[in-house]
Amino acid sequence: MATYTHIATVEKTSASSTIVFNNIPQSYQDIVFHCDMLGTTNDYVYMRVNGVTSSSYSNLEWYGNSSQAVYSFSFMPLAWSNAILSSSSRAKAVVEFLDYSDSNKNPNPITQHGNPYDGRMGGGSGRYKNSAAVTRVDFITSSGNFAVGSKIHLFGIEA
Amino acid sequence: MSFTLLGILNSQAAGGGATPTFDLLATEIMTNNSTSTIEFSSIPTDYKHLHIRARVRFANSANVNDLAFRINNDTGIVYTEHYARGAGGSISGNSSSETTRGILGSTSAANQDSGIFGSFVIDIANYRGSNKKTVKSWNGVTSSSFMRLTQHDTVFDRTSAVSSLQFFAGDSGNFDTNTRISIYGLK
Repeated sequence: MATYTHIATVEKTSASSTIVFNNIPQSYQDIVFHCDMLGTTNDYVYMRVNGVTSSSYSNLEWYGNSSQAVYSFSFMPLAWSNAILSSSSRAKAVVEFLDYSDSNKNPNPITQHGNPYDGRMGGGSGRYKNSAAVTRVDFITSSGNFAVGSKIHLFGIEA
Repeated sequence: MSFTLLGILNSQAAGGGATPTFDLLATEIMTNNSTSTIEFSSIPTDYKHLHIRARVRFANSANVNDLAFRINNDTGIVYTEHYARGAGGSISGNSSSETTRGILGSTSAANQDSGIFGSFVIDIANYRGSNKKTVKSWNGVTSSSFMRLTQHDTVFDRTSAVSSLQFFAGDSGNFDTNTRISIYGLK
């Protein structure tokens, strides 16, 4: 039984500040985002769950030989220490939401990324302080835009 | 709790190696907090790699516990660990001398808010080869006051194939209700 299934891909055909996955199917155990991103400028990328913009997020980021924790933020950063997006080379990230539809568990995305802006590798562990099923995930730039050709693929894993 | 992997769950043909395969072998979900060991036994031998995904919380009275493992129920001094760990605003790394179990990372225990479960993504490459096995884990857990992000690599100092896996608490304790561990085979 094949269990790692492509659900959707969003590819930017015009520059904008968001990539949104809405109406995420609830029929998988885990969902995984594979990100291949280019910016119109060097920039940060944030995530939000279910469109919630309140201070409902915490995140620990590990980058190079340092780490940084943030509490009660209005987003989860993919990389907070420095810009992850570059206008000259593509940033890669994998974002894993395990048990994304389990109402007994807060979403806890774990991420790994390569950061072309300053050549660092890193990762993160986030929390959305709510046990609602994840039906929407937004990827948002801080000040610039995702450039044309940026792609994020969404996969579902069964269990 | 032990779960024997049945052949019928692994019925997909090999396909000549042309088709990538990511097969679910088994899932364990805790329905109470009385289990101290989750075991996957009789792991099929017709895959190349194993992949494990888990959301874990322990029921002991503490903020944090570690998820530990053994291969083939081997309690010998045959596990050597290297890790890097982010905790709050600092990062550290270390290695251990050979010991009797491997560690996969940190997760929550009963003193944390109820919805806090650590996430684990674990790979065992070439699990049936004749070389020593390496177990790689990427793990995170985040609450309002407690955060860990870890990468653990453990060398299993045996050359035997991996036929069973045992998961348990590093600091003693039972798995909490709704803990989930799934194991997959890759070709």
